[in-house]
Amino acid sequence: MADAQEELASGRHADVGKSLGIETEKSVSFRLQVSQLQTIADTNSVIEPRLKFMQSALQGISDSAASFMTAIVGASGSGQAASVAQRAGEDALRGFTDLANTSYGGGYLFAGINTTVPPLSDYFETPASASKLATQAAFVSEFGFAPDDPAAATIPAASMKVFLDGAFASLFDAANWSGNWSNASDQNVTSRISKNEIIDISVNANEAPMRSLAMAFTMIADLGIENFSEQTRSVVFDKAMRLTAQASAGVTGLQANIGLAEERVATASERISIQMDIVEANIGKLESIDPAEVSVRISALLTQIETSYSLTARLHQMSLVNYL
Amino acid sequence: MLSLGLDIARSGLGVNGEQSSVISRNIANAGNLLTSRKIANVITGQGGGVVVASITRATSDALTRSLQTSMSNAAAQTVVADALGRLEATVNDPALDSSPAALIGKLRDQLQVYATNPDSPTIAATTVDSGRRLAFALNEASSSVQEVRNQANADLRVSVDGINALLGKFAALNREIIKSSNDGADITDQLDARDEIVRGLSQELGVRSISRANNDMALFTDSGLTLFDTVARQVTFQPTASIAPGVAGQAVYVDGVPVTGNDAMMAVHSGRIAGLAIVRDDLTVTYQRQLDEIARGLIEVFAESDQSASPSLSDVSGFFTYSGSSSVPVSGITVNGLAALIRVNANVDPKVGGDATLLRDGSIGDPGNAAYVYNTNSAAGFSDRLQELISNISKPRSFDPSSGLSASISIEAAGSSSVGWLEDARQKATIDAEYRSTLADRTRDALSRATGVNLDEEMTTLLDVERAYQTSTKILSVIDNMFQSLLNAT
Repeated sequence: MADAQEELASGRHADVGKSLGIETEKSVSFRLQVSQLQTIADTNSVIEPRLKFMQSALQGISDSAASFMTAIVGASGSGQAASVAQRAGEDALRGFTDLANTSYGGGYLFAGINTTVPPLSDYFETPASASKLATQAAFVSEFGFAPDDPAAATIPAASMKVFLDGAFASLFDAANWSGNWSNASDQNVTSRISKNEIIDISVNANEAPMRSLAMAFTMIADLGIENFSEQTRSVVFDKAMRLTAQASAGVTGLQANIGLAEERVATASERISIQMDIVEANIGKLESIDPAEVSVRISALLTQIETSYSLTARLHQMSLVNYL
Repeated sequence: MLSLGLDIARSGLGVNGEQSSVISRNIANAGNLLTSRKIANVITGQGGGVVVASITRATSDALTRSLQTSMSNAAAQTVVADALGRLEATVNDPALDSSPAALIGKLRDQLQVYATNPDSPTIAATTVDSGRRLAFALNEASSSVQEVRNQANADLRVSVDGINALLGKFAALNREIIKSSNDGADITDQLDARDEIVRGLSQELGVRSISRANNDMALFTDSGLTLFDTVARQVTFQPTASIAPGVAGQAVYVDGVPVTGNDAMMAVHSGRIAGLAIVRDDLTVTYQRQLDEIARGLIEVFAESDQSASPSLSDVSGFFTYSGSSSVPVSGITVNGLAALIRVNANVDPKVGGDATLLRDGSIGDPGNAAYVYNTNSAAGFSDRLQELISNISKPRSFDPSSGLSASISIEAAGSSSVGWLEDARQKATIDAEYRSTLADRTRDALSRATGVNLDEEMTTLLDVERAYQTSTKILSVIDNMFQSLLNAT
């Protein structure tokens, strides 16, 4: 009777284990599934804004590349505009460093799994950064003098081309990049977005388009282009423009990667919510009771109790002794 | 002739007296359901008078025997169902998520949260906390199982003592009955008392009784061993003070032959002793094995392997360990009592000065040994090890078939399968116990109806006796009148 009342109130069996027997195993494992799906749904909802944030940071990098392009296209003709371009390069490099160091929820987005360390250090910081020292050293070893030396004006265009494609470019290959520029890890952050699906949910600052952009910005910002001859300078401008164009396409590729991850997370979450509905319905089917049946049972029990009370009373009165 | 009539009428009065005394005995015992109805057997004696030749009782051998059997069965099943009910406290309602299975799920989910935020020391500590709760639940469950097992062991002792005491009383009563039967005295009350003792015995263990000449009775266990034949046989049991997991309990012996235990050739099938033996030697042993296997599986899931390019070291226990040991128990073989010993490794437990982030980085089992470090660059966002652990939890592995778990299932499935096993056993035992108790009640009712005292019937008999008494006194007064007439005539 008490059990029946509890069942009516809760809508579940009063003693699930006793009512289900071996089926309790299913009930327990369904509950395990629901809690796992719920947890993954929760963690997915943490990942989604993170991916959006990363997308917008990449958009920022792409935008700054575009405005850098505009700046050097405008400057390539006139001689005195070289310093304007140089400043645009400096700004672009600063902006790029900032965006690459974007953090979200306490971790750096572009740092790979090395989330606690900012991926890029400031090129222009004092004391001079490792990246700046490496650039200066490469220049000196190629030409025998520093970029701000007046002799820079004598560098022939062909030599500059050799330098840019050779020693300077190698500053931005994967090994030197990790040595001088980046603290990021090549290993991307991964996440389990459904029971068996683990995907990369980040791109890191060591990707080729990132390095190319840094290279283009640096050659304009810190090789002392204002001291170069017109021809030499145009070689630099030319190289920077080609690099930036290439890198922009690369960044778009990275954005597509993140977009793909966003898409997969969204699909997985949708699938999870469908699975959860199904599993929860199964739990309901296993554990719940039919309220109509229980209320019928309660009223039957009541009738039974009442009958046996009145029977007891009648029997009590009934004795031959009363009639003798 | 008149004086002969007078004698007969007087003998009638005497019989009336005895009969009414039997009736009042019956009425006095009306409330005693299993006291049999006494019957005064009247025969015509010498000289035409009547005498009460003997007092017998209403009996039904078939019902008496089936009541004994059903009481034995009910007692055995009730013991089993009660024990399973207490074991069920270790899993409880699935909605409460308090079973080891549910806590394994909680830990897995917490690992998923940690894997998404591997750089958060707070979440690392929470994850370790989940693990600690799981280890604690296993420890608790194991100690509940041992409590139930030791209780069954102690109850066996009580039951054996009870049997010996009852057998002693039975022997004394039986001797008295044989003696009085030879003398022809009224032994109905002793017979009732002896039946009561046999019923008491059948609650403790299954008993078959055989009646012999002079109301002698011999008792056998339901497996055929002699309990009583002229003299009572000894039922012996040397209980171990406290039984550790994996250690078999001592058997109960009847007349020197074991009646409990898996290798007992003449094991009893019913009565409390049979039920307690099932609880002590079967149910709690299997369930303890399951808990031990779950504990062993957990140690295996979280074990750390040599991460060097050419691994040479053997696996060490990681997040979960036992008795401070760093070795990983062999797969698929139960380690007795492991569920009571499993702990979260102190090296990873911030509550005792450990470092929770080792869960992400590895080398919990052997801190300082670079071979077991998974996160070689100490990157804060490293989640591969955590993902590996989550996958390990749902990866099938070997379990000891003697635990009743499937030989190859995942640790989380092992947890829920253990819940299923327990609830299945409990459901069956409870239904069976209810059915057997009902059967015993019905049989008791039937026996009571067949041989017990019915007030109305006694009252009717009393009316008969009253009429007979009235008639006898009438005869006396008529004969008296006749004598008077005779005397007056002379």
